[in-house]
Amino acid sequence: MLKYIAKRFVMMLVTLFIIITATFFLMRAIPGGPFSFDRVLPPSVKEALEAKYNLDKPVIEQYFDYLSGIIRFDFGPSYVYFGQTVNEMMADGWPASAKLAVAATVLIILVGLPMGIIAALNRNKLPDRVSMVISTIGVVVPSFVLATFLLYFFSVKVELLPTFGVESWKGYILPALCLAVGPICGIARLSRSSMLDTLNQDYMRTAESKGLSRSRIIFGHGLRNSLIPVTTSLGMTFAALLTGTFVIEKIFAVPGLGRYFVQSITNRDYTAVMALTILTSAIMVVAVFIIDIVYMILDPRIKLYDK
Amino acid sequence: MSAEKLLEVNHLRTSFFTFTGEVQAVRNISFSLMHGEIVGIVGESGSGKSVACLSVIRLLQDPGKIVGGEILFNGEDVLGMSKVELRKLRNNQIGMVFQEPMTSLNPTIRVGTQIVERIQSFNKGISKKQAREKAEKLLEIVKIPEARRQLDAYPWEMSGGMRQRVMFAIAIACDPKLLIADEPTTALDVTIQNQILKLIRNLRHETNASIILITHDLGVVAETCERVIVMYGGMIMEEGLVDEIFYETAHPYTIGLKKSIPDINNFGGDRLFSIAGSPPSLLDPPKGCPFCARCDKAMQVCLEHCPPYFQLSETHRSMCWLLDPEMPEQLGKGGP
Amino acid sequence: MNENYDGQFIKDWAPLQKEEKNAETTSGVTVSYWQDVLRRLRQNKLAVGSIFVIAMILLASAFGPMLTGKAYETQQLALRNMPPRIEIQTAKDGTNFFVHPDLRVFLAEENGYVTEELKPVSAKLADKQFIYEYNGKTYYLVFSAEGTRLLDENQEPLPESKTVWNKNYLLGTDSIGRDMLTRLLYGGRISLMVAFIVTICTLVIGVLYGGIAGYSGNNTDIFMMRVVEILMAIPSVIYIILLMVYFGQGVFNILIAMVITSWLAMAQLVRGQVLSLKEQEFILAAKCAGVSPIKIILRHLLPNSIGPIIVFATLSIPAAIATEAFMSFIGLGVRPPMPSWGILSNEGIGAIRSSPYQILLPSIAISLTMFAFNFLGDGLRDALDPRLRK
Repeated sequence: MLKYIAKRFVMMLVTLFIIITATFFLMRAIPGGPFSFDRVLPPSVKEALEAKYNLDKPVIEQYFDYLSGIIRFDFGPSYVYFGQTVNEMMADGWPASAKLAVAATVLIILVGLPMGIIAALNRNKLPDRVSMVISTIGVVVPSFVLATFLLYFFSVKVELLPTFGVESWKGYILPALCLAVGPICGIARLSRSSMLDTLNQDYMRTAESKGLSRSRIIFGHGLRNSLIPVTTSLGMTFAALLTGTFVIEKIFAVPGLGRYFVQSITNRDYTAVMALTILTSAIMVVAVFIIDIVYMILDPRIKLYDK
Repeated sequence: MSAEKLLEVNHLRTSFFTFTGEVQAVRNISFSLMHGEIVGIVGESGSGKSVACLSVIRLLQDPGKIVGGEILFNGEDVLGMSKVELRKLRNNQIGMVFQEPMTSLNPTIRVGTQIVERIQSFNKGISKKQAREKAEKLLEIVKIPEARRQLDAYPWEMSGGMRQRVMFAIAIACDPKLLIADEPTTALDVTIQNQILKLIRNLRHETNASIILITHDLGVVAETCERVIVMYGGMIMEEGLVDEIFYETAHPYTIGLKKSIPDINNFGGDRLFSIAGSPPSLLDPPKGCPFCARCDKAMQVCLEHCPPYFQLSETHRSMCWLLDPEMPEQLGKGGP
Repeated sequence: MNENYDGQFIKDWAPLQKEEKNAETTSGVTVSYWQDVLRRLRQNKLAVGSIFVIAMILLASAFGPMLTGKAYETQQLALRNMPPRIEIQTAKDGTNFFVHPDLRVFLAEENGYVTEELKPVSAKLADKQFIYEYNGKTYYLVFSAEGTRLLDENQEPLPESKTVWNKNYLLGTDSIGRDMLTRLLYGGRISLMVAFIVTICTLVIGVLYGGIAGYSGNNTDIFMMRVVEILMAIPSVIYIILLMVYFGQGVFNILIAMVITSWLAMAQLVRGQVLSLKEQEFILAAKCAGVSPIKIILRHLLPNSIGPIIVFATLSIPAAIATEAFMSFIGLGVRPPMPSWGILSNEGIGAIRSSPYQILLPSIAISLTMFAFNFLGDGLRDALDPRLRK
């Protein structure tokens, strides 16, 4: 068991390292450097700027500088908004994104899981058919397209919810919903098929023949086992959530990290792009690691595979 | 052996309603079981033996439904029971062991917990500690070595034979009146088979339960059972005491089954015997005798009319036109 | 049955002949695998409908832009933000007007063809009025919170008004006066082309990589798959973003970036297929018969694994469309003014209150295409699943 955790942990560090290195060198390799974009600068000014930002040192030295910065959680200055560091701007955007992510996650767990399980328990009856139609739509249509439809109906036609910004808590409803819809439908489908599979298993028949109560059979035997395949797909769900924030925050003008990311891309703010890429990847990798541990707890058969 | 009937099945009919139509798995069978008996139900795959026993505890999965008949357990009408009563019945009075030990136990839950679960569900007042002790004793009864340690094992850490023993332990946890073993040895090696059969015989002494042993192997039945029911095509072909079935066989199908048992004394020489043909379609069952198509003594009447049961002794009956006293002498004695 | 026995019928004791017994019958006609696949696919109405829809979309994207008679980049600033359906108001003397929501007045023909803008002669902003003169008549444009109205010289509404299709620009124009229909169709061309090319490239690369890894087995396989695993740890979107920031925008660049990231999943799938097939007896039989490895891969392994590969490829297409749209939406995909559905979405989102059609049109196009391909992929998956054979 410990071997499993250790292996995963090492993989996590290796992946992070590769990402940081790849990102760094990729950004550095962009022809022209950060100060040759748009404005035409006189060479002397350009040189001065580059010296200030240590861009005239050899690349390897810059690389190690950057690495040591990361360990101290210092992502460097912004090349576009002079005088501000990336850290400061990330700190600004962090709360909104966090609230959004939490709201979306809560929705996913509270809506997605029960939807799939209830569908499985009522196979081919009305609750099943309804949830499956809804989840097909949510899974097929990309989140930002869905967002535009929802925005149109609830904000323009019906004027129930605000279109932009997050002044009130109401402003979080639509974006959280749009973020969560895709994953909710994905989880619903997966938990339904997983539950159906589990219900078909022989040990469910054994449990029934033992005369156990219905709730004990469903929750004690059925639910736990059907959660296992769902857990393995949580990684992808989380990835979808993360990348979804980029567009959702842009559409709904939520002042969060996602919108900051998109803006940095548009403005070619390379330090910000690097920092946010690394941050996103780090969150992703850590999340996968945690999911792996959860999986290990749920499924004791891991011991089998470890040999 | 008490003279009262523990289980009485009358004219049971069970069908599966599939896309292609109604598959009549059990077509009008009637039998009974006394307290403390071991009865074997023998038949090929598709003969309806498993479905019949699943029907007794109403454990049929969609699209199966009991279509007609009556099932009385200890005088109570099983088919009329509510879900709660049914659950109690399965919990307290009946234990079942299934064919596939590999998959019949939940792989993510420890073996001990799966036994304790049952103990705690019918004995609500019992403490966890006491339940575990009882579970350990049960494992000892089914002869699992190092019972205490094995309580914490997972099913996939055990061999097939051991898993099957655990299934038995779970089945007898509530000291049931009826134990149904559905082909408990089919998925296991022959050597393990022997051990399981010994276990079943022991259980009879230890627990006072009546046992229904379902199998396709007549040889298994010979060792272990007192009475035998032979099923084919969803119906009972022949029923009687073990000796009657083996030495006074009264049905061509049973004869065929007997012949199929490999004879250890017969080295090199004859081929292994098998009954030619395959079981009838239960979607569109033949209106005559189900065995007609494969019977070498079949007659026109067999094709057109399903025979009734002819009673050969108080305990022995068979469903075959050859036993009809009206049958002309030219065809041989009144019997197969 | 038994209980009805009363001995009243005649029993025929004649022995049965073998033929009458029908002991062994095999039921059903045997059908070849691919015939069965086609049959099952045809039965799936959703899949058949989707094929039809896809064909329409492909035709429209391929030939549509040429048929509209407009280019996707031509701007007509005066006619910007015109909706697809417009309200034409007719004055007593037969002049037709179109009042744009932006408080501009146009002359038009009755059937919906807008000709030119009419500039106001003067304005009385305190009364919220603009004053126009045409053909010797004066008209007043009055605007308020409830809406805008065009009134004639007597301050009365014009007698006739009806809503017609915008004849010149069937789906309206965007914020700088470009024809939405042409841009939508051309955008479809770009989005679909990117999706198809990416899918084909992923197919080739994935099959090669996965096939070799699966067939080689042992260390080669483990190594190759480790590489894939590590690369897959990060969502591909991040990779694509990085690559596009490096490459810069452009159709060709997004193609390369997407291919670089999407072959991973295909390789895993193919390798899995090859691995499971490799152990089956018929491969062993071929090896025993001395068939060369290349022949084994081509004639035995590939045809048997092609089912899931086809399904995966079909389902990759909508994924690629979504990815391209996503990238273009955040400004890292195709380079404007070239349209793609993602670009159109990006351009339209800001105007969702004033000109919602600008965002709804590409959204509907994307949704429709995604549904069609997904249903087709699902149908193919069901049709190709050998376990569902009856």
